[in-house]
Amino acid sequence: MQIKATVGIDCVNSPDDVMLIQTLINAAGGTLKVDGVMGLRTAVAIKQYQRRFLTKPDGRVDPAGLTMANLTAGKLKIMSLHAQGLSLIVLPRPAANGYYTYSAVDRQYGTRECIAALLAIAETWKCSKPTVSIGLGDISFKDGRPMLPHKSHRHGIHIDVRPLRKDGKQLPISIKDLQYSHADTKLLVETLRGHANVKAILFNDSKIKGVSHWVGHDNHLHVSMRA
Amino acid sequence: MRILLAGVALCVVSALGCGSTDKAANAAPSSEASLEGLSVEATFHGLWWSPAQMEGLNPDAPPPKTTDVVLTSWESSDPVGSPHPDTVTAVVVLRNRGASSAAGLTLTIAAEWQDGAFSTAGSAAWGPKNVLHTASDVAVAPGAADTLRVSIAIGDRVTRLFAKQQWPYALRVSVAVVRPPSLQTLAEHQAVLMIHRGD
Repeated sequence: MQIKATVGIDCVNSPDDVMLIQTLINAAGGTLKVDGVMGLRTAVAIKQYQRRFLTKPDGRVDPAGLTMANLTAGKLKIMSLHAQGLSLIVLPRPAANGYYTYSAVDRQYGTRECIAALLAIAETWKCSKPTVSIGLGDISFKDGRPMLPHKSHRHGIHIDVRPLRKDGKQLPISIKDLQYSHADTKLLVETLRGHANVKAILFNDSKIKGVSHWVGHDNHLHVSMRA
Repeated sequence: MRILLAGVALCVVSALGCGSTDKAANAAPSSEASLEGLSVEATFHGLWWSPAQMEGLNPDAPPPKTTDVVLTSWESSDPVGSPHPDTVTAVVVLRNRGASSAAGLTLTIAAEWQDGAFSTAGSAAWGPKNVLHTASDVAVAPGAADTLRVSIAIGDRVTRLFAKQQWPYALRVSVAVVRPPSLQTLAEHQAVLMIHRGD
């Protein structure tokens, strides 16, 4: 269940993709005619649907974007945290959608709100820096068991994020490295802080506002989401 | 040879024989008093991904780790970027910068762990010293060096302790070179590998 290209205002709008979006929006309460035509009613319906989770709906559905993730959320594998009554979903594998992953898939389970926030942040980031992807690391195991070597990362609301590099490569980086990009990482922090779900960020570049110093955080930002 | 000692799996690969090396055999053995220039040093190594492998690495199907890296610490804060191999190798180099052959030496490698509960970070006490390997009748020719490698299964220890809410905060390897029968210490060295956990 996936679209091949963008759907919405000023998008590719392949008929098959448009039909899928119309179907999914109807499944979410819409009343669209499923005809594969990207018209005004479909555009308005996409925007209305996006108001559920975006502060600035754009009427656009990207193949690996937040809107698509929400539309297909019911199809994502939901794992229960029996002991805590929480359910975690896996971070979708990226497809040129503003982020890449550097942790194994079984270590990237988060709450629905957390995953949605990460996808939204990645979407926002992609608009700011389309050629640079954000590196997303450990979140939680699907069953919330302790994740070696972390103290936290058990509730699907803590995410490790790599700082950014001047060369834009998908490689690890520390603030002490010459390739560390203070400017891009500052923009990343601003993007993260711009999302309402982001509660705190631990990171050791003291020249960036909005982060807290913590031992061992030269090579990653520890992002805590609101529960 | 492979030995199991004190719950630590060790794989010892040694260039130090149980007798004189070819170089040492051709040089006159020295007395203890003339062993100036004998030194020993230990460093920690491990196999990890190369920078080229790290770029765009697929964490769900990672390539084999084949690049030898010198470890200044064992840190898993970045699952890819900060090396934390399951097995670390203590590489011990015995060097003879003197003019005389050093022969009939005994070299001992021992390890201590600074294990402690999560709450004792930074203040855990060192545990007992366990001998990892002993090489007897070691000889090093003048101007030569020999290398001995001892593998230590650090990942197993981390996993085992983590399950008990404990952590091995540091590993200390001590190397001592003595000559029987007086057991006078001719050279010694300690290397500490800090083991950092994530948050």
